[in-house]
Amino acid sequence: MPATPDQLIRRFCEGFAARKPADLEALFDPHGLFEFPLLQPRLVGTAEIRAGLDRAFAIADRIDMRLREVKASARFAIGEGSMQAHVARDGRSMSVPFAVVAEMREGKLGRLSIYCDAHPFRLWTDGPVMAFDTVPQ
Amino acid sequence: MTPTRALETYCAAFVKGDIARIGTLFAEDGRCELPLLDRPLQGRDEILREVGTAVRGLRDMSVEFGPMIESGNEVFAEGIFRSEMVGAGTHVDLTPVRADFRFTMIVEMKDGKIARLAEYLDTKRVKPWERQRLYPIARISPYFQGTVEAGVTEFMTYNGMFFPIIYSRTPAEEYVALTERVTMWDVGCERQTEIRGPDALKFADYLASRNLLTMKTGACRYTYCCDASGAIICDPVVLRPWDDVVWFSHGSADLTLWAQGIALHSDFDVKVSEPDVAPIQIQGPLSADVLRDIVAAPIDDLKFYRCIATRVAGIEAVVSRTGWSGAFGFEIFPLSSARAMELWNALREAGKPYDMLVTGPIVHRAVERNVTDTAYHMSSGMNPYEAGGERLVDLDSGPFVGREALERVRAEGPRRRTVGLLIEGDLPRLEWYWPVADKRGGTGEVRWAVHSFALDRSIGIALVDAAVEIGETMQVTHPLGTVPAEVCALPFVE
Repeated sequence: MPATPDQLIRRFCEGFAARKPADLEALFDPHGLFEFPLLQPRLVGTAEIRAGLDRAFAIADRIDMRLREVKASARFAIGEGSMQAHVARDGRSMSVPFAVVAEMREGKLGRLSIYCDAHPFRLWTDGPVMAFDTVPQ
Repeated sequence: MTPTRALETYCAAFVKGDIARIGTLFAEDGRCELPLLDRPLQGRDEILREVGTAVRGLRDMSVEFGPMIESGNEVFAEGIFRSEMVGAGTHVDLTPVRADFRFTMIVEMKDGKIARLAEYLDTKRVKPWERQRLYPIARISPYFQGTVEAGVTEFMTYNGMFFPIIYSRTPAEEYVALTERVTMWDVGCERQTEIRGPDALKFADYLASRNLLTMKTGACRYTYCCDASGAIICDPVVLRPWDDVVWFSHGSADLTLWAQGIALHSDFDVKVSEPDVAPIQIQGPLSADVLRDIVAAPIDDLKFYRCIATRVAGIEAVVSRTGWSGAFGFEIFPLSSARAMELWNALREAGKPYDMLVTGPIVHRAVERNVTDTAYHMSSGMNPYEAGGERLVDLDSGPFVGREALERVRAEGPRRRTVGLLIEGDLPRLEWYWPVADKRGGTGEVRWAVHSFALDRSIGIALVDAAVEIGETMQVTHPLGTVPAEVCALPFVE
C-alpha cells in the first residue's frame, strides 16, 4: 500500500533524526523538490537532495525533528513542529520552530518544503569589537 | 466561525488594512507568531497594535492560498504573500522594494475566536540577511557589536566613522517606535569638539554664528559654524557641561581640526581636542521612562536644551535633553568608551519594558519636522540665511568667523531659500541631490526626500532661488522621472 502524505512527513523526520540519508533520498520522486532554508533554498532531484542531506549531516552532529501535529489531505500534508540541532562547527545547539508541507507524486514526495526562519543563523561572526573589558586576554 | 473561515477572513482583512475586522477575530488572550516581528504577540491589544504597524508599512498586498487542511479546531495552510514596502525607496535598479514570500500558517480556534495564529517563513528572503561589509578606512563605533546584534545592515561614513543607519525592519516599524514608544540610536559618530580652558566659552563664541556668551553651565544651544565666506561648515549642538568646558557636538565635518587651526594662531587660552566621547540617543515619548532608574540625576527635571554631568548605569556621562528627532528625547555622552558595551547593554535592558527599538536616525520623521543636518562638503555652499536659519545668526554680538560675509548677505538679501516640497508620486532613495526647476527658469536642489508617514505622501526639502514662492509648482527630476512638486512652508508636521 502506498504511503500517505502524512506518513511520508513522519518518515522524513524519523530518517533525519536517525541520520539515514539513503532512507530519506528514497522517499523522494526522482525529480522531487526539497526546500530547506537552513541548507540551501532548493534541491532538485534525488542526487542533489542526497548531496544536500550529506552536507547537513556533516554540519550537524544531531538533528531531531519533532512534529506536534500533521494534517493531511489525499495529496498534501502540512505539519508543525520544532527542530533541535547541534552544530559541530561551533558546538552550538539550536532550536528552530518549523512547518513542513509535503506534496505527493505517484506515492513519493514530489515536494517537501520546510518553512523556518534562517535569518537568525548567520554565516558570519562578529566577535567583541572595541569592547575593551571583554577582549580575551 | 470555522478555522478555515477565520484564516481567510484574517488574510482578507490584512491585505485591506482592516485592523478593526482583525480585532473581531482574535480571542482576548490570543497569540500571534509572525516571524517578521521580533517576538510573539500576546493578547488582542498587542496584536492589533503591531499588526496595524505592519500594515502601515506595506501596500498593494495580496494573498494566494495553496493547500488548506482543516480538522478539529485547527487549519494548516500554505500560501504566497505579495506586497510593496512603503517608504523604503527603491532598489538601486529602481525596482520597488517588495516583501514577497511563501508561508505556511496555522490557526487554532477556541470558542469561535482565534486563540493562536502562527506563520512560518524564511525572513532571509525578505530582510537583508547580511550586514554591509566594512573597510578599515573609517573607525567603527564602540557600540558596533551591539548594533550588529540588533540587526544592522547598512552603514554610512560620518566624521570618519561607520554610522549604523539601516536595520532589518520596515521604515514604518521604526517610525511608529519613535513617535509612539522609544528608540535607541548609536550616534558614536557624532563627535565632540572639546574646548577646554579659561577662554573656552569666548573661543566657542568666536566659532559660532550665534551668541554663546550667555550660555550658563548646563546649557545647550543649537548654532551654525561658518567659514570666512559665510558658508556653513556644520550645525552643531553646543553643550557647556562644566564651567571651563564647551563641546560642539557636530555633524560630519572636520570641526576639531578647524578649531585647532584657529586656536593655534590666536590668543585664546584654550585646549582643543576630540575626546573619546561616543553618544547614544534615546528618543521618543517614553525616553524618560527608560532613563529614570538608570540615570543618577533626576531625569524629569532636565529641561529642553539643558545638560547635566551625572552617571548612567554607574558610568560617568553627560546627559542632555536634545536629539535629532524633533521630539522628546535625550542624548547620553559617556566620558569614555572603555565601558561602551556595558552602557549599551544597560540601556537596552532598561528599554525592554517599553519595547525600545534599536534604530538608526529616522529620517522620515526628521524631514517631516524639518530637522536636518548640514556638513561642509554637502552643504551646497549654503549660508545660514539660505538654510532658513536666520535666527541662529547674531550679527549684533561679538566677532565670529564669517560675520563680515554674513553681514553682506543680510544687507543684500540671500540668493536662495530653503523650502518644503510636496512631491508627486513615489520616490527612489536620494543618493545625491536632485535638480528642481521653477517656472522662471531658476534651478535648485532637492536636498532631502522621503515618504512622510504622517502625511502619507512624498515630501522633500529643497534649496531654491529666493524668488520661489509658497504654493507655486516646481519640477523635480529624480531617477524615476520628472514630477511636479508644490512648494510649501516648513516644517511639514508641527
